[in-house]
Amino acid sequence: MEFTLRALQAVLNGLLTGSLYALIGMGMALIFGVMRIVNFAHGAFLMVGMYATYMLYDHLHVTPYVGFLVAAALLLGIGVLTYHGLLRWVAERSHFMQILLTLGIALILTGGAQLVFGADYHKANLPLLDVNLHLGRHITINAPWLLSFAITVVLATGMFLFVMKSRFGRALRAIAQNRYAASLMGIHVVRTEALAFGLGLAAVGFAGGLLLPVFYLYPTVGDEFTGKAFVIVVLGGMGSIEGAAVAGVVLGVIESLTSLYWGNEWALTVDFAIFLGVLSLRPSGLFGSQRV
Amino acid sequence: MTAAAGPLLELAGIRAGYGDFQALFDISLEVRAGEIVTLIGANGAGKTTTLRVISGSLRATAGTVRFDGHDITQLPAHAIPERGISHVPEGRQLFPHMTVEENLDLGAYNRRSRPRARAALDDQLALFPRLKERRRQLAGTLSGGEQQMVAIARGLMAAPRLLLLDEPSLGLSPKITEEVFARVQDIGKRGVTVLIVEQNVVDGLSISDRGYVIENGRVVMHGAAAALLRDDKIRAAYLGL
Amino acid sequence: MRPTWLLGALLVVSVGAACKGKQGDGKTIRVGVVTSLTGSQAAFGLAHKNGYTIALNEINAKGGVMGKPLEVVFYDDQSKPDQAVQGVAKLIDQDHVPLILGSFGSENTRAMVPAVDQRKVPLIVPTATADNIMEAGSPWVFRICAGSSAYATSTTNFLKDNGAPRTLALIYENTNFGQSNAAAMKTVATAAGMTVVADEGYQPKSPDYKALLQRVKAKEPEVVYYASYLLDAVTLMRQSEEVDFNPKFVTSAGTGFSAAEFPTSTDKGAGKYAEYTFSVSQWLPSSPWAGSKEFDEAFTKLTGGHPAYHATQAYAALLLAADVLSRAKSDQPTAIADALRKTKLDTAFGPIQFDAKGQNAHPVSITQVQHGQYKLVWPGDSAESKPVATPAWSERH
Ligand SMILES: Nc1ncnc2c1ncn2[C@@H]1O[C@H](COP(=O)(O)OP(=O)(O)OP(=O)(O)O)[C@@H](O)[C@H]1O
Ligand SMILES: [Mg+2]
Repeated sequence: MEFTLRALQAVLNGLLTGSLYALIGMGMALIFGVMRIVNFAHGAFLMVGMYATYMLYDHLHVTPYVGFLVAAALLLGIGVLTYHGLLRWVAERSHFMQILLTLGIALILTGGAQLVFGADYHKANLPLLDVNLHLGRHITINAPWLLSFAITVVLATGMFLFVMKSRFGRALRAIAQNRYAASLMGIHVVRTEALAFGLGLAAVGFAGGLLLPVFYLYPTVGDEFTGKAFVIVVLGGMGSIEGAAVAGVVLGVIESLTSLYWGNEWALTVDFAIFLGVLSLRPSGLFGSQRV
Repeated sequence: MTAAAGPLLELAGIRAGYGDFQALFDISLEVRAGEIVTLIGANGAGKTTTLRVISGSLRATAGTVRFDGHDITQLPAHAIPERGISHVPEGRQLFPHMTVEENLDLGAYNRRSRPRARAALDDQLALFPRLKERRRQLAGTLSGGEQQMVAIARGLMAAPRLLLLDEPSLGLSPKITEEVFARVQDIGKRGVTVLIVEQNVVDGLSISDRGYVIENGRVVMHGAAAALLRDDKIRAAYLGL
Repeated sequence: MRPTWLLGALLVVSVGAACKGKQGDGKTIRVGVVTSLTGSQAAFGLAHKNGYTIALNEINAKGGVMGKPLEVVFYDDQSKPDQAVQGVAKLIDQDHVPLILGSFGSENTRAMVPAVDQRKVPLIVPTATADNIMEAGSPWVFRICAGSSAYATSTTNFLKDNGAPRTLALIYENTNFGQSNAAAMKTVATAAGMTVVADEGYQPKSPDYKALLQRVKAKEPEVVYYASYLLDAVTLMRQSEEVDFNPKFVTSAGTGFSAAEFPTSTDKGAGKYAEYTFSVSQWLPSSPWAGSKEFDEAFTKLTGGHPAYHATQAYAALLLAADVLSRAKSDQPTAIADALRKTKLDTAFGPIQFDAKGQNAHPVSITQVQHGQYKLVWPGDSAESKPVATPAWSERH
C-alpha cells in the first residue's frame, strides 16, 4: 500500500514536471519541424522568459501567473525579430552554420543576462509556494506545481490544435514538408517561419514564467533545459509537436520514477540512455511520426 | 480590367540565373488567353528556369513579365497564385506526409481561391476520379502517375487563369502519359490557359496551339505547333528523325 | 552572410579581451585569486571577493608588503572547473603572479591542483573541503580550512553527544565536493557504529528532488547528512516538507546549509524551512579569535549583512599571503612555498599552521539554525545554545 502510494506520488510529481518539459519540448519541436533547425538557444530563451516574469514580479508586483503571458508575448516578438534578423539568413545554409548561430545566440543571451542582472540568482517567493494540497495521508501536491500543470495542459492543447487545425498550422506543415512547394501554394514562407519561430519561443516564454515560482533563476539556468528539450524532440519523433508533448510528460515521469527506484543520480543517465536508444533503434521517435 | 487585346502572359527580354551562373539570356514569349503553348528544349536549356521566373520563385535580372497587362516581374512567389497563376513544378513536389485531400486543399491556400475551395475540390475529384478513391491516402505513398495527378489537381485548385506545367509526363508510362495529356486537354477546353514544358515533344506539341524552342537560355524558334512538328530541324534535334 | 560576420566580430571581441592581460609594472606586488564570481556559485564567489577586498584594504593601509602596495588579480572561473584551470594558466603565464589563492568549490579547486603543481607555484586553498585536494600530495598546495574528514568527525562526535542516533542517510550532489564529504561521513560514521541506510547522490540544480526525498524517507533514517550548495539546499528543505520527510537530525557539510542567506532570506535562502538544520561551521562572528568581531563589522559595513565563514576564510587567506610574502622577502614561488611551510599566524579565522601535507588543523564546530540565526551548539564548552530536537513538519506552527 505504502509502496504503491509512493509510486503514485512519484508519477504525479513526474507529471507536474513533465508538463513543463512538454511545453518546452513542443516549442523546440515546432521550430525543428518547420525549419529543421535545432535551437541550441532554447534554454537561453527560457531564461529570458524567466527574467521577464521575474522583473514584472519584482518591480511591478505582477504575479508570475499573469507575468508568464507577458513573457510569452515578449518572446514571440523576440522570436520574430531573431528570425528576420538572423535565422532567416541561414535557413538554406548548412546545419553547421545554423548550430553555430543558435549557439552564438545562446552565448549572447546568457552573457547579456550576466551583465544586466548579474550572476546572482533570484527567486519569486510567492505565498502560494507554501501551500501544499493533501490527498489522503500520503499524497501531497505543491499548489504552484499543480497550477502550472493545469495552465500547461490548456496551453499545450491550444498549441496542438492551432498547429494541426488552423490555416496557419497547415501552412507550417506545408513548409516543413516542402518549402518550395509551399511558396508555390501562395504561402508566405518567411513570414510563416518567423511566426513559427516566435511561437516556439512563446512556448518557452510560457514555460519560463510558470517555472519561475517553483524554481530559481540565474543566467545559465536554461542550459540544462536545452538538452532536455532535445531529448524530448528526439523521443517525440523529430518535429512532431504532439509527440513532443507526450515525450515531455513521459520524460518527467521516467525521471521521477528513476529517482525513486534507482536514485536521482541516475535520472540524467536515463535521459541520455533514452536519447541514444531512440536515436539508434527508432530514429523516427516513439510517439509521433508526422512532421509538425 | 482585362486588357482584351494583349496576350495573357508576356515575357520580354528575360535574363536570369543562379548566383554567378546565368541560365537565361534573352527569353521573350507570349501566351494568349485560352491557348495551350509548349516550351521545348534540351536538358538544361532553361525551361524550368523560365517557369520559375514567371511564378516568382526566381528573380529576373533583366526584362519584364507581364500578366494580364500587369507587370509582375518583381512579385514574390507567394503573391503569384492570388494573381491567377498556378505553377505545377517539375518532379511534383507534393507534401508527402499529408493526405491527397490536404495536398489539394493547400492548392487553394491563397486568399482569392479560399472561398471556392470546397467546390474546387469536388471539381478536381471529378476530373481525376482515381484521386477520389485515394483522398485519405498519404501523398508520399501514391504511385508516380497518381502523384502527378495530385500535382496537377493541386495546381487547378486555385482556379488559375494560367497553368504552368513542368514536365508532367516525367517518369510516367506511355499509357499514363496519355491519360495525363488527355486531362491537360480537358483543362484547356475548360478555358484555362496552359504553358507546358515537355521533353515529350510530339505529345506536347500535339495538344498545343503553339510552341517555343529554347536553346542555352534563348528562344531560337517559335510558331504554330503543327508547323513545328513538321519542321526538319526540330524533327532532327528532338525527335531523332 | 550576416551571422558569419556577427560571429566573427564576437570572436574578435573575445580574443581581444583575452589578450588584455597586462604585465606587472613592478610598482606593486601581485597575487592571483581564482574564484566563482559568476555561475551557480556566484553567491560564494562574491563573499570571497568581499573578504579579499577587506583584507587588501587592511594590508595596504598598513603599507602593503615589502614596501609596495599589494595588488590582487582576480580571475572569474564562472563556477566551472575548466575555467579555474584556465585561470591558473592565465595568472601565472600572463600576469606572472608568484602565488595563487582559490578557488571557491572543491570541484574547481581540485582541478587547479595539477595546474599549479606543474607550474610550481604555491596555491592557498581557503574554502574547498574535499579530502582529495590534499590527498593529491602536491607540495605546492596549502589549505587553511578544514577538510571533509574533519567535517565528518565533528558531525559524528556531535551526534554521539546527542543521543547517539543509529541510522544515517547521505544526500549529496554528484560533484567532488558532495562525493568526498559523503565518503568521509560514511567512513567516520560507520566506524562510530552508525548504519548508513541511504547513500544518495543527486544531480545538482534540479527543480524536483521529491522522488529522491521520498526514497530516503522510506528508509526512515534518524539522521540525514547533506552536502549541497545553496540553491539545492533550499529546494531540498522546501520539498522535505512536501514529502513530509522528518529525520531527527538534519545535518550538513556546511556550504549551502551554512550560507549567510540560507536561514535569513526567503528570496534567496530557505527562510523558515532552514529552521532546526545543523551545519558544520569553521567560523562565526562570535568565534573566539582576535579580529573576528572586527572582520564581522567591516564586512557588515561593506555589504550590509553578516559574513558566513567563506568570506572569513578568503579574508584570512589574503592576510596569510601578505604575511608569507613579507617573510619570504622574494617574489620567487619556491621561497614563498618555503615561507608558507614555516607559517605561524594568528588570524580572525584562528591560528594558521600547516602540517607536512600542507593542511591547517582548523577546528570544526556545529551550528543550528534557531530563530533564523546560526547558533553554535557544539562543542559544548563554547556553545551559545543547546541543540533543539527537530519537530516534524506537521508540528511546526
Ligand atoms: N538551383 C540551381 N542552381 C544552379 N544552377 C541551376 C539551378 N537550377 C538550374 N540550374 C542550371 O540552369 C540551367 C537551366 O536549368 P533548367 O532547370 O532551367 O533547365 P531545363 O531546361 O528545365 O532542363 P531539364 O529539361 O533537364 O529540366 C542548367 O544549366 C542548370 O544546371
Ligand atoms: Mg526542367
